[in-house]
Amino acid sequence: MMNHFRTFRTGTILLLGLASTAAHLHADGLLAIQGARIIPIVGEPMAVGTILIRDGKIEAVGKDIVLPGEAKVIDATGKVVMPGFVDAHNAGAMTSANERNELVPFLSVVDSIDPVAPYFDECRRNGITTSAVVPGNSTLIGGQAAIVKTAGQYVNDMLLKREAGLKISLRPASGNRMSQLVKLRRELDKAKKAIEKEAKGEKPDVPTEVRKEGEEAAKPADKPEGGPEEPKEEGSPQRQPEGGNDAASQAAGLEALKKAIKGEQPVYIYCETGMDVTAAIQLISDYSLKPIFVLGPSCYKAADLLAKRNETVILDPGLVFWETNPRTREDKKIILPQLYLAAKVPFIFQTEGFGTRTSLGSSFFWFQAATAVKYGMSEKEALEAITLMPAKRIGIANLVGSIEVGKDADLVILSGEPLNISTWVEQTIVDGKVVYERSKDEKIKRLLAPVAE
Amino acid sequence: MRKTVFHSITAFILTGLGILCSGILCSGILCSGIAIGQEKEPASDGVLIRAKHLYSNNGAYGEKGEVYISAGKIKIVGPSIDVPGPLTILEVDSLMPGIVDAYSSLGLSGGTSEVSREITPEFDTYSAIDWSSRDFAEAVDGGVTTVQVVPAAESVFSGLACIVKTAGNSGDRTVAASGNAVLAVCSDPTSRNRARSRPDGIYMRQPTNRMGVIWIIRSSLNRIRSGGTVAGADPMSTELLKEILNGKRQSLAISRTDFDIRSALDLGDEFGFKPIIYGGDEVYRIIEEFKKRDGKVVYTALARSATTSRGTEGTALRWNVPGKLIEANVPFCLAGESLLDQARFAHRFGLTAQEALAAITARPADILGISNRVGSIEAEKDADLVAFSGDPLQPTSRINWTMISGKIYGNDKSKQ
Repeated sequence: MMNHFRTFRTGTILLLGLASTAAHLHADGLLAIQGARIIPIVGEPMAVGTILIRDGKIEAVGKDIVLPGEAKVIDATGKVVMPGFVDAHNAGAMTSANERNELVPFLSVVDSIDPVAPYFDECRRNGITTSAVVPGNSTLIGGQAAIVKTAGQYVNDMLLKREAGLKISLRPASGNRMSQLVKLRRELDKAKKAIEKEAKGEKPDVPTEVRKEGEEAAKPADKPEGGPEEPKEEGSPQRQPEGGNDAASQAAGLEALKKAIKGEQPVYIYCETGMDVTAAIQLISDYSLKPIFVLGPSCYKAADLLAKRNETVILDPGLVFWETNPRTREDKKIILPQLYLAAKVPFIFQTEGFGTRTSLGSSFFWFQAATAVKYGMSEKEALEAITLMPAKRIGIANLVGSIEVGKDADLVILSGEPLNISTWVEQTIVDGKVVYERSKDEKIKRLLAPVAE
Repeated sequence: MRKTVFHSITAFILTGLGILCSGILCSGILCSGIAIGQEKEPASDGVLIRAKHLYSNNGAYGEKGEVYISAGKIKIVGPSIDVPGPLTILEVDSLMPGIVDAYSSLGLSGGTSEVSREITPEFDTYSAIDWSSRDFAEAVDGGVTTVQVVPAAESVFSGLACIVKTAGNSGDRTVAASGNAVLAVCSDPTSRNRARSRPDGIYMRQPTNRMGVIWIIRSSLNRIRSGGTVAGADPMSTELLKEILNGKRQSLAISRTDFDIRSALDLGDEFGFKPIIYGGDEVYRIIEEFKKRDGKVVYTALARSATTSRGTEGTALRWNVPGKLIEANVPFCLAGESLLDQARFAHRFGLTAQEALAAITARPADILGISNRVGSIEAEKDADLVAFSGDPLQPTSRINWTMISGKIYGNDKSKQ
C-alpha cells in the first residue's frame, strides 16, 4: 500500500521547503557531488560526473550539469560514487533476532528496531543505506519484516516499508522437520480457509481459537478431514506465546498470513538444507506464496530446482566452505557463488552479523562481491548484486539501488574502486544527507592508530 | 618432435603430485599461453615459472620474473633467466612465496591440549598429527605451505610445537619435529578448573586463577634451577624445563593481554630465557616497553579484529597493530586462520603491500628460525610457491595453485 512508502514523508518535506526558507530543510536542500567517477548501476559508468540532489532525491546526473549557486558542493575528485548498498536480509537492527514463541506472524520488527543500535553505525560506516530488517532463522513464523534506511533518530524516520515480508523458517527449532511443517501448514490453512470464506461472502471467523494460559492450543474450527494429527510437544512444556494468545494478536497474525497468501506481502523462507528447498517449493505452490528464498549453506544441492524458478535468492554469508563426504570421506571445497553461477540461479549476498566469529571478510558487502568476482562473476554483476538486485528483490527498486533521476539520494563515496582491498567508504549519504564521514570517524581512527587508553 | 603442451604439462602434473591437482589443467587460467615442452628427453624435473609479477621478498616486488626449480628446490631466480636442458614451463600472473603460519593446530588429532595435568612439557604435537587431515588440504588451498603446530594452552607447560609442510610425502614434510616449548602465560589453564568442585574430580586442580598459572611456572622453574625435579612430573619434563632454562630450547609464551605479555617477559628475565609472545592482542599498549625488552611477537588477533573489538580474555583489539609493530621495529609476524586474508586486511589497515606479504612469509620464517628454507623466493630455498590470477593482496585474485617442495597442488577442483 502506498502509504507505507516514505515518499510521502519526503513529499511533506518538499512542501515545507516550498513554503518556508531553505533553513528549514532537513535534507540540506541542494547538494552536489562533483568530480567523482560515477557507477550508476543502471547505465554506463561515467569517468567524471556530477550528481545533483534536491530535497533528498537525485535531480540530475551527468557530465555538464549547471549547478544552482546555492548548492552545497562535495568535491569528490578522484573518488568513486555508487548507490548505497542494500541489505536484503539482516536481523542486526533488532534487539533480539528470534522470538521464543515459534508462531508469531502478528509481530512486526518495527517494534524491535533500535535506531541507535551499533548495527546502523556499522551500516553507515560500510556504505549500507537501506536494510531489510527480517526476524531470525530460528522461529517458525517469525513475524513481519520492515525495510528501513540506516540513518535516523526514530524508527518512523527510517521506515521505508512496513509489512515488507513474513518470515518463515523451515529449520526446525526442536529438531523435528515433520512437526515443523505440520504446524506451519496448520497456520497457513487457517488463513487460506478464511480467505475462501471471504470470497464466498461469508462472515469471517471471529478468531475463536484463542489460546488460554495452560491450555493446549485450540484446534482450528474447521480442520480438514483426515488432516494431520496435532503434533505432540515432546519434552518441554508447551511454550506460551508472549502476549500472543489474545484475540487481537491472533487476528493480526491471521491477517498477516492472509496477506502472504494473497500475495500482498512476500514471504522470506529460510531453508537450511536442500530438502527444505523442496518443502518450500511445495508450500509456495500449495498456498500461492510470493517467496524470497534465504538459503543455508547446503541448499546448493537443490540449485537446479531453484534455477527453474528464476528468482533471486539470498545466499548464506559463508560463501566458501569445506565439506567432507561422510561416505567416501572425500574433502570438497564448496564455492557457493560459483555453484549458483553455474546453475544460473541469480543471487545476492548477506553479511555475517558482527559478533559472529568469521573469517575476515564476510562481514562486508564489498568483500562478498569481491569473492563472487574471484569465482567468475563479472564486476558489473557483483556491484549490481549489492545494490539494485537486492532493491528489486525486496520491492523497493523504484526508490533505491541505482543512481537515477528521481530516486532517493542514497549514495556512497568511495576512496577508490569498490572491490579494491584498500578502498574505504569516505562518505555515506542517505536521502541527500551526509550521515557518515570517514574523516570524522573516531572509531576508525582509534582502530588504525592503536594506543593504550 | 615437439611434445604437445598438453602432454608435457600432464606429465609434469602427474609426476608432480596427482591427488588433487586435476583442476589446473583445464582451467586455462594458469596455463594460458603456456609452455614449450622441449623435446629430446622425457622432461626432467626442471620447471621454469614465468611470472608477470614476482613477489620474491628478495628484491622483486611485482616485476616480471622467472624462477627455475629442480629437485624440489629453487635454483635460479631472475628477471629473465637462461636454463639449459629439458624443462616444463609454467606461465603465471603473480607468484609469491608459500605462506608460513607460525601458530596453528592443523592436523592435531584427538584433542589439542592436556587437561588432567599442568606440567606436560614433553607432550609432543608431532606425535599426534593426522597427516591426511582435511586441515592440511584447506591450508594448501589457501596458499599455506608451512605451519607450526602448537598445542592449546590449557596446561601450563603445554607441550612441544613442531613445524611441518602442509603437503608432500609424509617423511619429507617435517621441518622441525619436537620444537619450541609452549608456556601458557594466560588464563587458559584455569578454564576447566573450578574452585569449588569435588575433591576427587579431575577438575579439582590448580590453578583456578591466573595467579596460580604464574605460580606454577615460577615454582617449577625454581625447582629445576636449584637442581630439583618437578613434583609429580615425568623425568623427561625435568629435562625439557632444563633446556628452556639453559637456552637450548626456544620457548613460546601464549599471552594476549598486556599484563600477561609483561609477565611472560618478566619470567624470562627472572630465569634467563627469552620467550616469543604468541597471541599478542594488546602488545600495542606496551609497545615501547616491549621494544626495549627485545620482544618478538606472533600476532594472531587480526583474524578477529576486522569484525570484533574484543578478543579472547576480553582483550581490546585494534586493527593496525601490525603497523604499530613495524613503526617500533619490533620483530613480528601474522599468524592463525585465514592468513592470506589477514595480510590483505593488514594492508588495508596500513601496512604497505610489501610489508603485508612479508608478514605472512619472510617474517614468520624468521621468527621460526627456518628462513634458510622458506619465506622467500631465493636460490637454494624450498620450492614453496603460490601462483595467483592477479595481485595476491586483492580479494578478487584467486590462487591458481600452490607448490610445495616443487610439487604442484591445485586442489581447487571447481576450477575444472
